[in-house]
Amino acid sequence: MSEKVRFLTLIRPLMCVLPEVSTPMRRVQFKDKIVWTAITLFIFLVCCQIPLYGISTSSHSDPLYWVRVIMASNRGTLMELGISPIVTASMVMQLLAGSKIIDVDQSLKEDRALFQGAQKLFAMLITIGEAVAYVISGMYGNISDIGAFTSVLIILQLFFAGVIVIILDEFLQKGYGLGSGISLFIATNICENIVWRAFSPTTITTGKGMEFEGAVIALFHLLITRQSKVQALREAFYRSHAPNLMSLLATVFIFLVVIYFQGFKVDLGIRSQKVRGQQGTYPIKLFYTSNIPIILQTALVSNLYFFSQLLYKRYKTYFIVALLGQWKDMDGGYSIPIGGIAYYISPPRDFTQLLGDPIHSVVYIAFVLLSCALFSKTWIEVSGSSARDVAKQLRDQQMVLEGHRYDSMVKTLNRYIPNAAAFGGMCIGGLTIIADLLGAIGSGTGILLSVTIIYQYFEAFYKEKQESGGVSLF
Amino acid sequence: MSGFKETFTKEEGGEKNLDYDDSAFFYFAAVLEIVILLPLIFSFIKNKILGYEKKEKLSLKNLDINTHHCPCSICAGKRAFHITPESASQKFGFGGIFQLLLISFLCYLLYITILSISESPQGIKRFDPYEILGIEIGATDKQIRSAFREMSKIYHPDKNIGNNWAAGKYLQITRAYETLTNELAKSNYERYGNPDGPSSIRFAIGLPRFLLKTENHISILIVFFIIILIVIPGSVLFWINTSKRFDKNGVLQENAGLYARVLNENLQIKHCLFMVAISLEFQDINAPKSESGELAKLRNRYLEHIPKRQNINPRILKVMLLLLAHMDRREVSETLKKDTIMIISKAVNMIETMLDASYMLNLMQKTKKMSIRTFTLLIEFSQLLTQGLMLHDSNVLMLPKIDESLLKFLGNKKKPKISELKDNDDFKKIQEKLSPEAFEDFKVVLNYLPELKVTAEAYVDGEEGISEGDLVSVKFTIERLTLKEGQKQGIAHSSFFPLLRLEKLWIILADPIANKVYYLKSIQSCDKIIEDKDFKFPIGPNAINIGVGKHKWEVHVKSDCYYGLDVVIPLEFEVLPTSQIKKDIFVHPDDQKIEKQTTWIQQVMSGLQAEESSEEEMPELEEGLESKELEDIIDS
Repeated sequence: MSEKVRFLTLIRPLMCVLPEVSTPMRRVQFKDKIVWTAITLFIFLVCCQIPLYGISTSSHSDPLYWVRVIMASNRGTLMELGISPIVTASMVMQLLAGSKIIDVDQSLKEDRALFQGAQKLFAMLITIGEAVAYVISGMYGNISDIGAFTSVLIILQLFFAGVIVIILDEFLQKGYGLGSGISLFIATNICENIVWRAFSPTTITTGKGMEFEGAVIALFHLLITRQSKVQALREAFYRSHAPNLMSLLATVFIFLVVIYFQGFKVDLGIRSQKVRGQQGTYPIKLFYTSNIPIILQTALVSNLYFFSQLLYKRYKTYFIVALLGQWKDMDGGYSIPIGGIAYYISPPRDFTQLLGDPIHSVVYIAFVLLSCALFSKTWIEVSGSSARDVAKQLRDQQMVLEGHRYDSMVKTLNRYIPNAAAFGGMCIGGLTIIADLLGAIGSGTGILLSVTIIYQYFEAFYKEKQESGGVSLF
Repeated sequence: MSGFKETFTKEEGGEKNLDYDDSAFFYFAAVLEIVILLPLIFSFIKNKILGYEKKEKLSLKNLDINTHHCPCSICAGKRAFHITPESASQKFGFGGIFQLLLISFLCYLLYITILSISESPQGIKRFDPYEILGIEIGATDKQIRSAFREMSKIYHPDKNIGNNWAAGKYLQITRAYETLTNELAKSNYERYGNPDGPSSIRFAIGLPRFLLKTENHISILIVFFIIILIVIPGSVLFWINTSKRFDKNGVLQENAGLYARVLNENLQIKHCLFMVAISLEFQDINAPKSESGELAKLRNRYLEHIPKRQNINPRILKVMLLLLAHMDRREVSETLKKDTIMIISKAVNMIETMLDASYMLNLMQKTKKMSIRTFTLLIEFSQLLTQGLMLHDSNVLMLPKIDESLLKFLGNKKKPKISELKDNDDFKKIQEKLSPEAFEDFKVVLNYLPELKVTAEAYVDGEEGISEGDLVSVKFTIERLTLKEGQKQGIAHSSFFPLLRLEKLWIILADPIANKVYYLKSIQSCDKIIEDKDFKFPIGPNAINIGVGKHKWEVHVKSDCYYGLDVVIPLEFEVLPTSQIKKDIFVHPDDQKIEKQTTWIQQVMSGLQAEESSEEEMPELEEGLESKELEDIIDS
């Protein structure tokens, strides 16, 4: 095996051309971190509002509307690609490293740097690839209409915007700011969505009279203008054509539930064998794999939808294609599944549909729960956080589990980790189902993502505050 | 549903901009105002009127009833003066008044918006079949039918021949009836407000119309840019500057750098005075250029304590002289006294910053070495300032009604000590000399002065014995013997400190032979028993390298308020050589196998490795690759 060329060494000559943020010379003050984070966010938000130059506005249906929220992307702006290149690159790299396909020694500084370099390079390549794919697929108008020069210009704009996002993310991760850029952007996007739904000043005038789009504003407006207050309340809570208060409350409810579950963990005491007296805890959270299972599940389902839709358009008559999914075009520029596997794994739209087609509901719920549990269990193996990997890590540091000094560490950890992963994955799946059913704003996945991210921010905040509080020693 | 972007960035020329709607804007503004107002009013009522201010910080204001304050007449008088029930303006403070103003301003705005809402024309009359038929929503079919029959009896064209209004009314009634009885029409009405199905939907934005007018564009842009480019960055900068300036002791942060230059191994009281004097807080104290009057006299008196240089800054000189006068209990004129009070009340906080700074220097070990004396002297300086004493004065002077003349009267010994006072005949002599009330004061304070019992223990957590390479924990326990169970320590006794002070205890752990301080901690707690377990240190060549054998360290516990009542106890422990301690490193056979095993992923992947190169292609969709890969894995 030794004569095999290591993948990482191939990256080394490219390292000098990759843009890099240098690590801060000394610890950045907490307040400075907040300021830097705010500035980063500002740059990102500005990029979200700058339209791309040279695109012809199209009222095409948006084939990627389902990932926009999660990927922090904004249609027709510099942030068209959002964070998808970074996310894809980092997930793929982690997968490759976790499954030992490329061999990285995380304890070596050079290896770590090379690994990050490879990730960045990969992200940049994906950015170019996606940009080219978007332009060629005609998302910004026919190529023959916009011309070769403008096409190249659009690709360049998208590429440089992508590089900016990569650099911003690295900037935050190197310790100038709080958390990572990816999570910051996702959380912002989702929160923006929720606030907009609650307070949007847009008005809709139909035969029924004028109505506000924002749920909270609509409540007050309806209460003031309608004669019958009961009807006004009912309308504000349950209207279906615009955001209603029910979904706002559901959002808050899901937020609280997730925050409550976030705190569930088992603290395993660990103790060092090398330095006697040194001890700590190894927390095993209920949400051991965080929101990974739901991301993977969404990715799986959306890919399935994508292919099924594609196939259904061309080969409607084939049995296999119909079994995979039958689709109906809606006037909003998107299509919904009405039959086949795609239908049974798509969420019921509301409670009436849930009760009206029990087979669909049961299949859907079982599918989500099982797939989330399965993905969660798979993910710990793939990403290097399984009981075996944790045991190895602890053993490398000569740590033993408190009270299990003479037991097998793998066995003890195996009692907790796979269960936490599977059950946590199921909980995440269940929460997503509930969130979608209650019509929570920004989709269940989005809320889960943003809550976990905001919670991480809160934890970081709390930790920083404690650390800067007293004079620390050694 | 529209997003923020779609609403505001419609293409110029192509699609027209969305309409702005004044009356809708009033609703929008009113709701925003309510949403801001409600929490504001709630927090205002909760904090300011019901008094639920945050009570996390230990301060003079929120000492509870079961607190043992100094019972002497001087302290009682000071407490009565400083802890007065707060007046309304004090209670509200600056923030409260600001909040009140904000609330009233918002209320006024809300009032105006609501007025405008009621004045603005109501929208087009909408079609409401329930209202036309005069029935309740959710009426049964039977009720609808009977209502329709009744109405049509009145308005039927056959009965109102030639009456156009009635004819129109009858049309409406029939339409309403049809809407409510026909399933399709009813659902259409419920969804779109129109029984015929979706009618034209008009979108608009609830923002004032003047924003759209061309002649306003430039001024709107200017305002927008001022907000984005000046107001927001400005307020952020302002926030950073104001919040950064003070450290946790409430002292200007730049001071620490100044102190670090003065602090040294052989610290003397004059250095301490000098450090206080150079603090940036006293930069704008007014000091006379020419030395005359009181200050000149003071200068001549304390020549030994002030720098010899002639051209010393008069401001620094003044601060030093006033501090000395205070420590010497010398009366000064009213104007100088005001300055003195201001200086002393800040100086005690500055000393804490000095201690922190010397601890940091001590940790760095590169630039300057700090001795134990550096730390003890700084704490003693704080004690001296609190009690109005010079270094090496007798600590009996802390007690009320005792002055130099009385000490001279005792005569026999030069410096009596409080600890010895109870046992010898000085006590009787003082009783004879003082009036009964004064002696009572003297006695209660003597009993109030703290008596601390300190224990310290070094151990390795969860293991036996201490050996090289271990992480050693030290546990300190301090017990206030003067307090009863459940009682809290109150405000410190001081006859000369102008303000009220809560006692802070400092713990110093040091090796007297190496003259090195390992741990410094200040504890502000009113409890009877105080524990501190925060200190952990590793023994080894890269950490605290003290080697094998017996060690005798010192634990100093010093109150920052009382002079000469410090407690010093030894902390003895033995470091054993590694060979004498049994280190059982046990690895379970199952765990040993970990490295040899390959994960099932690896097993799967080793089969795929050959085709690996093709895997690095571009994914055409987000996350397409890994989910596909995962599916591959699952399939195989």
